[in-house]
Order: sequence, then C-alpha cells, then structure tokens
Amino acid sequence: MAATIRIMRLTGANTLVGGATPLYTNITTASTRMSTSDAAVPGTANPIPVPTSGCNHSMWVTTQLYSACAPDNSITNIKWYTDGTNSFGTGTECLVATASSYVVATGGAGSSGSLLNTTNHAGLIGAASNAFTYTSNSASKLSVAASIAAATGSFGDRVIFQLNVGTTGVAGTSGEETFTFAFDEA
Amino acid sequence: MSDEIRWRAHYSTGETLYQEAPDGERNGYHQIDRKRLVAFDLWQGDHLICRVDMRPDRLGDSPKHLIWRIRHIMNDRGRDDKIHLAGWQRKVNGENVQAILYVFEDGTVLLGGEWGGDVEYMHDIVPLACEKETG
Repeated sequence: MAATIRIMRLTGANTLVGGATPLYTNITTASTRMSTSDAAVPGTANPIPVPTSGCNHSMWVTTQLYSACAPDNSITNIKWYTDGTNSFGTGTECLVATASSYVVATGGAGSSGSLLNTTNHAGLIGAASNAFTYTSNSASKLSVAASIAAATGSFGDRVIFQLNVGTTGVAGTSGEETFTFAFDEA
Repeated sequence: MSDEIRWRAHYSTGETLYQEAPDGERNGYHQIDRKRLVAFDLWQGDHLICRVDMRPDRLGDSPKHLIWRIRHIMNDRGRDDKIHLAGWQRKVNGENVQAILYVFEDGTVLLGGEWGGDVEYMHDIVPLACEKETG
C-alpha cells in the first residue's frame, strides 16, 4: 500500500508535548488562511489590515509533510510550487522559504506579523522570496531538503510562507491560491 | 480500475519477487536483486499495465539501472495524485539517458525521456543506493 502522507500546519508551542513542539494540524483537505494570528484554524478573524504606509504582514505559516502510513523504503525529492500567478489580489506579495527548524510565528495579533526573514526566523535556509516564482515547470520548483525512511512522523524541512499587504491592498476577502507538494516514494 | 498498482520483479532464474505476493508477503523495492533482474512489471489487480525489459543488451556504455517511484502530487484542496514511474537509466556516449514510463491511476501510460520541461510530473529523481546495482 502506498504511504499515506498529510500536509500539516504547525502553530504555537504545544505544552502537552513539552512546550517547544508545535501543534500539528492536518490541512490536507482543509484550506487554511493566512492572518495576523498564529491560530491553527484562524478562520476570518484577525485579517491583515491594509496599511496607510509601508507594509503589513500575516504571521508566517509553517507547513510540513507528515507520514501517517510509512513508505516501504523511503520518501525523497520533496518539491513545492505554485501556479505562478498571484491571485491574492492587488497590493499583495507572498513570500516563501524553507526552514530546518520550527520557530513560532510572532507579531501583533490583529495588526501585523513579523517579517519572514533570517533575522526573525533563525531556522530559515536563505532569504524568503516571491512564492510565485516557484512553478510546476521542472526547473522552477522549490526544493525542500530532507527525507524519511520507512517510518511515520513529520519529515522534510518546513515550508513557510507569508502574505504581505501594501498600501494599494484592497480591503475584503482576498483571492485564493493553491500550493502543491510533490515527492517520491519508493 | 480501483486496485492499487503494484510491482513484480522477474529474475533470470525464473523466480518472481512481488511487492505484495498472493500470500500477503510484502517486499520492498530495495530488496530487488538487480543482478538477476530481467523484467520489472506494474500490475493493477490481475491486469499487467507495463513491463520494463531489463535484460542486458549491446546498447549504451553501461547497464540499465532500474528506476521505480510513486510520485505523489498533493495539496490542501484534496488533490492526491499518485503517478508510478518505472524505467531505467544508463550512460550513452557518456551522457545519462533514461526511459521512464509514467503510469497514472486511471491506467494511462506515457513514455518520457529527459527529465524536465514544463510537464508537472517530469522532474528528476534522487537516486537511491540500491539503484546503483545492475545485472
């Protein structure tokens, strides 16, 4: 039987399992939202305000793959990509980066999250960049390091993204986007 | 076609190694004896989808290295595609060359060559240690 893999959203610090471990929420079949909160299921609360100057950020969203039913041998070659077109709306920018460790999203709930950069997120592997430069074209996918052997549990580096809204942003519900993971099981 | 796709490895000695044998025994891809491998199949139920000929030949600069993967493509909208890749890689005139069958769950089979391009499922693989063995 093929492995069963889930996409998880990591939030907060789950005190039930030691304080430094995030809460893993399965978003495989449940669209998730970027907002100015670090809630696992944020809903429409805490939207990102359109600023009068500068830029407001969502709190960064951390995602990671999770093996619920182990592969026979391994899972390798993790990729991540978008459709290449920003449909979130005018005045928005979506950043993405990979990270080798988890860092709780920070910022002011209801106002702005901290910018996703290597200063605020010590686990980032390089600077965050425009998510929509990563597409399904073979050479344009974002490579996500690490793998898993015949085991269950979370695996691979985290993929972290953030929505930024500038002064030309339009108030209201933004458009939707689909982010895709690809990986190889053997 | 609702059955899962599974592989079978046929050896020069006439034996077959099943990913999942009729008696329920399961074998891993890394357990395939590449030195005796002459054919690699993908089956869906009792239907043979494709066979990769792994017999030695006079072509190329090196033997064929078997490649098999399940390429998952999934997102948070419920997409969970599984595409089986089955084929081989070898050196020809010093260049890496591969012939890969892309087998979709609906039974569609496409033959691909060079990795890459703008086809979503055709990016390269990460070779596994067991794939360095050949017959």
